Amino acid sequence: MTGARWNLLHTGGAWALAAVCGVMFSFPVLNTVLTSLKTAADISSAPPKWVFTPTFEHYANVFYAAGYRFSQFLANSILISLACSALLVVVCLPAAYSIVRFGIGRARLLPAAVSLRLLPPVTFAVPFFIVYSASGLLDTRTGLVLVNLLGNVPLGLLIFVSFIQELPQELEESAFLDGASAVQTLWHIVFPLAYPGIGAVAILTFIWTWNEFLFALMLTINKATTVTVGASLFVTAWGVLWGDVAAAISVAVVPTLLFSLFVQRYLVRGITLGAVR
Amino acid sequence: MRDLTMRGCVFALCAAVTLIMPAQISGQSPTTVRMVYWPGPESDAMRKVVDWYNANRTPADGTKVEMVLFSREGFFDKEAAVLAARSSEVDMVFTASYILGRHAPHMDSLQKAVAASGEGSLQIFLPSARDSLSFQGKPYAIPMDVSNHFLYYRSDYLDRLLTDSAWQRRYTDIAQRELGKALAPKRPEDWTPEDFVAAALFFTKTINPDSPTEFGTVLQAKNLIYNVMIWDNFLYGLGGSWFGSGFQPALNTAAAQRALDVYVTIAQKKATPAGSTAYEYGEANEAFRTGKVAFMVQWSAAFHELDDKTKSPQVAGKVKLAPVPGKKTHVHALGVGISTYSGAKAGVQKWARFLATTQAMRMYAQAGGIPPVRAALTDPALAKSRPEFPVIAEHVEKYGYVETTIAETVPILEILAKHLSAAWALQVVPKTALDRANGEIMQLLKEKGYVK
Amino acid sequence: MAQERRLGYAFLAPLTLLLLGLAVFPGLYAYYLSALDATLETFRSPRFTGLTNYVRILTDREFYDAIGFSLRYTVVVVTLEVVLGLALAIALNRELRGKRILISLLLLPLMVSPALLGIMFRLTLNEFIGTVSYYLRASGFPANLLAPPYVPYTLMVVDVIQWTPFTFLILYAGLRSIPDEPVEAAVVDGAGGWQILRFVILPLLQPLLLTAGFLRGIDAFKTFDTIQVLTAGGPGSLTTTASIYVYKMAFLAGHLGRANAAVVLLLFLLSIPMSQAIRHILRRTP
Repeated sequence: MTGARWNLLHTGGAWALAAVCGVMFSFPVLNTVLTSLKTAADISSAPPKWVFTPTFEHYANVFYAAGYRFSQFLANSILISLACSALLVVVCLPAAYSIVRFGIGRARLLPAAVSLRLLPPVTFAVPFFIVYSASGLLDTRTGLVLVNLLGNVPLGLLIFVSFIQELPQELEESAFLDGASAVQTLWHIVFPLAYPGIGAVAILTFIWTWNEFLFALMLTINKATTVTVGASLFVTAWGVLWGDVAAAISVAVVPTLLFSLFVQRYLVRGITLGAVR
Repeated sequence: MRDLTMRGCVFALCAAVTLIMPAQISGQSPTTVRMVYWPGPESDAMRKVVDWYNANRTPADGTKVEMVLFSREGFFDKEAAVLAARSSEVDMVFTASYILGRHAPHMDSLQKAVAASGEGSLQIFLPSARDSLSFQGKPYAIPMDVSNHFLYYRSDYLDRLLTDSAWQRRYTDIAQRELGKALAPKRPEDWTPEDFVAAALFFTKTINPDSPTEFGTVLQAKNLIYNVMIWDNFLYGLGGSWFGSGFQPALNTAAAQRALDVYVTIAQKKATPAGSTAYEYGEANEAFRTGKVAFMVQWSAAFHELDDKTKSPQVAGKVKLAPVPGKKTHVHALGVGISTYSGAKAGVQKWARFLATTQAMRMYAQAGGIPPVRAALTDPALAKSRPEFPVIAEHVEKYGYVETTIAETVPILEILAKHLSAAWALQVVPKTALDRANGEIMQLLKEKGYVK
Repeated sequence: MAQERRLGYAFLAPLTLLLLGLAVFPGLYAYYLSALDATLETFRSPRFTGLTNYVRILTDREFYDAIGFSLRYTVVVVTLEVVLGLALAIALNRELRGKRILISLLLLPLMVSPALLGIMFRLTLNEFIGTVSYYLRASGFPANLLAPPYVPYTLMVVDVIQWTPFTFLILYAGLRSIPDEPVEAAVVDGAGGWQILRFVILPLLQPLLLTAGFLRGIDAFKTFDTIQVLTAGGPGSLTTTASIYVYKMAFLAGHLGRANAAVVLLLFLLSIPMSQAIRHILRRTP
C-alpha cells in the first residue's frame, strides 16, 4: 500500500494544510447549519451569535409547511443521484476502455461527448423542455437521470480514460491468454484496478446531480422536483427565508455526506498488482 | 469482498432504478385545474383560498384546483419555457404587469371568461391594477396582489428633526455645505427628491457626527430590474417618464438626469451603505431593521415585517409611511390568467370567476395577500392587523403609475438595470449611462416598430 | 481482431445511443435558432435572418467584456484550485487518523448546490448581519466585499472555496493509484521531494491534472448560479460572465436567436482548448 515512504510533505505540514483548508472549506456549511438553528432575530443579530438557544422551527417548516413536500423532494434526489451515478459508470467505463485499448471513438466520439460540457445549460432548457414534453419525460425522475447523465459523461469519460491508460496492459494480456473474454477482463481486472477513479467519478457525479439546479428547475413541474429546487422554494419575492433555506440545505447535505463516506473506501487502490497475477 | 460489493451495488442500483422509473407517468383527472404560483406570502395566502374552494365549491363546480410552486429563482424563465413549448401541463399562468406583454400572446383574454360586471367580474378591482394587467386594451389576468412603494421612515428621528432647533440648524448647514442650498427640514410627507437627498446626508455619520444612524438611507443598487422600478419613482416624480411622445424613449432628458443624480449624490457622499451595489429588497430591510438607516424607499410588502415586534424588535412601532418623495409610485400587480394551451378551459373559467369575487379576495387578504380590492383593503377588521392596507389603497389610487405593459417592458428594464447600476456604483458617469440606455432602448423599439 | 473491434463498438453503444437520443436535437436546435429572429413571444413563427444574429453578437462590446471577465476569472480560479487541490491530495496521501472524516469535511462545500451556496453567501457577506463582514469590519478591513473594487475577487474566493475539493478529489484518486515502484526507484537514486514531484509524480499524474484543470476550466468559464445570485452580473456589467450574458440575452432581452448565436460562437471558442486538452490527456499508445 502507499505508505509514508514517499511523502513530499512532512506530517506536520500536511496536517496544517489539511486543517486550514478543512476549516476554510467547511465554514460555509457549518455556518449554514448554525443559521438553521437560529431564530430570525438571532440570524440578523450583529455581532454574530455563536451561543444561542437552538430552535427547530425551521426544520419543522421544511418538513411540514403546507404544500412543500420536502420528503418527496429528498426521495427524488436520492433516487435520481444514485441512478445517475451508477448508470454513468456503466456507460462510461466500457466506452473509455474501448477508446484506450481498441482506439475506437478516439477521433470523433470522445470530442463529441466531451463537448457536451462546453454548452452553457441556460439556452438548452427550452429545446429540452420541448423534447421532454413530447416524449413524456417531463417531470419524471427518468428524465432528470438522463439529462444529468449527459452532463456528466465528459467527466466520466475523461477520468476513466486517464485511469485506464495508466493501468499495466500486461495484466489484461495475460488474462486474454488465459482465455478470458474482453467482458470478463473488463469486469475482473480493469474494474477493480480502476476503483479510485470509479470512486471519484461516482462521488462527483452523485454530487453534481444532487446539486444540479437549472435542468431540475426547468424540466419538473411538481412530481420529480429535487431537493435543490425544493430548497430554493424558501426564496421568496420578498427576501430569503434564511433559516428555512439553511435548514433545507443542512438536511440536503446529509445523504451526500453519507454517500461520500461510503464510497471513499474505494478511493484506495483495489488490489495490489501481485495479487492478481 | 470489497470488489464484489462495489460491483454488486452498481448492478443492483441500475436494476432497481429501471423498475422504479416507469411507475410515475400518470394521467391527470380532467377536472383538475393546475395553477402556477411563486413561493412566499402570496402562495401561503392563495393556499388558504384554494383549500377553501376545494372543500366547499368543488362538488358544485366539478373543478378541483391544484397549485404548483415554481422556484422564485428563474420563475418567469421557466414559465416562458412552458408557454413557448405550448405545454398543457399548466392551466393557469402566474403573471405580472411588467411581464404580461410577453405572456399575453400565450394567454386567453378574460373578456369572455369572467362576468361583465358586479361580483365575478374584474370591476371589483382597483382600476389601476386592472389596467396594469391589460394588454392592447384587453384584460388578461385577475389582479391578485398589488405592489407599490412607500417612503419608510423612523418616526423617532424624523419627529425630532422637526422639533429640535439645534438639529434643524445643523440640517440647513449641511444642506448648504454639501448641496449648496440652505434647505430647511420638512415633514417626510412633503419631501421632494431634493429633501430626500438633504435628509440622507443629515443622517449620515461621516457627514453629521451627531447622527443617530450610520447612514441616511439605503439604496437598492444591484443590477436587477426590480431596482429600476424603485428608481423610476424619482424619474416620474421629477416630471420624467420612460417615453416622450408615443414610444420615443426619454431617458436622456433633464428629468432623468436629475433623478439619476439623486442616487449618484447619495452614493458619492456615502449616505448609503457601501455594499448597496449588491442590495435588493432583503438587504435593504436588514439595514433598516438593524437601525443603520433613518429612511428608505421600499416595497409596500416590507411594512408587515418591519413593524413586527418579534421580527424587527429594534424598529417595530417606530416605522411610519409617507409617499415616495416626488409623490409618484410605481404600481404593478401580480395576477393569474388562463393559458391558451390549457386542456381544462371550462374548469379554469369557473375558478377565475370565483377569484373575481369580494368574498375570495377578502379571504386572500386575511391570509396575507394584498389584493387590489377596495372593499378588502379598507376592511376595518383587517386594518387592525394590517394598518398599511388602507394606505396602499390610497397611494395606488392617488400616486400610482404604470410604466407600460408592452412586450418589451422586461428588455427595457434590463437595459436600464445594466446601465443605471453602473452609474449607481459610480463606475460610469450619469450622462454616459443615460445616453447608452436611451440609445439601446431606441434601437430596440425601432427594431420592433414602435419608433420610426 | 475483428471480434475485438466488434466488442469495442458494443462497449461504445450505450454512450452513442445516449448522445444520439438526447444531445443531437438540442444541439442542432441551437444552430437552427441562431439563424432565426426567434424571441420568446415569436418562438414558433420566426423568420430566417441568416447571419444577422452573429453580426449582432460579434459587434456587441458587452459580449467581449463578458468573455474577458470569464477568461480572467477562469485563469485565476483554476490555477488556485489545481495547485491547492494537488497540495491537499499530496498532504492526505498517507495514513492519517480520521482521514475519512477529514476528507468528508474537505468535500463539504461541493455538497451544497452553487445556487444555494450563493444564497447563503448573501447572508454571510451581508454588510450588517453577515458573519464574515462583521469580523472583517471589527479587524479594520472593508466589510462590503460585494461592492467594487472587491467584488470580482470575492467571487473568485467563493469559487475557490467551493471547487478546490473537486480538483482535490480527482488528484487524490490519481495519487492513490500511482504504483510505488517508480517512486521507490527515484528514492533509491537519491532524489529529493521536489525532484520526485517534478520528474516522477507530475508526469504520471499529467492526464488527471489536465482532466481536472480542463473540467474546472470549462465549468468556471460557464459559471452562472453563484454569480447570478450574488451580483446578477453587476454592478453594470462588471461581473457578467459568458453564461450570464447568454442568459440575459435569452430570457431578459428575450432574443433566443441571438443568445443561441452567442452559444455557437462560445462553442467554437471553447473547442480549441478542448481539443488541446483531449490530445494531451490521451497518451500516445493506442
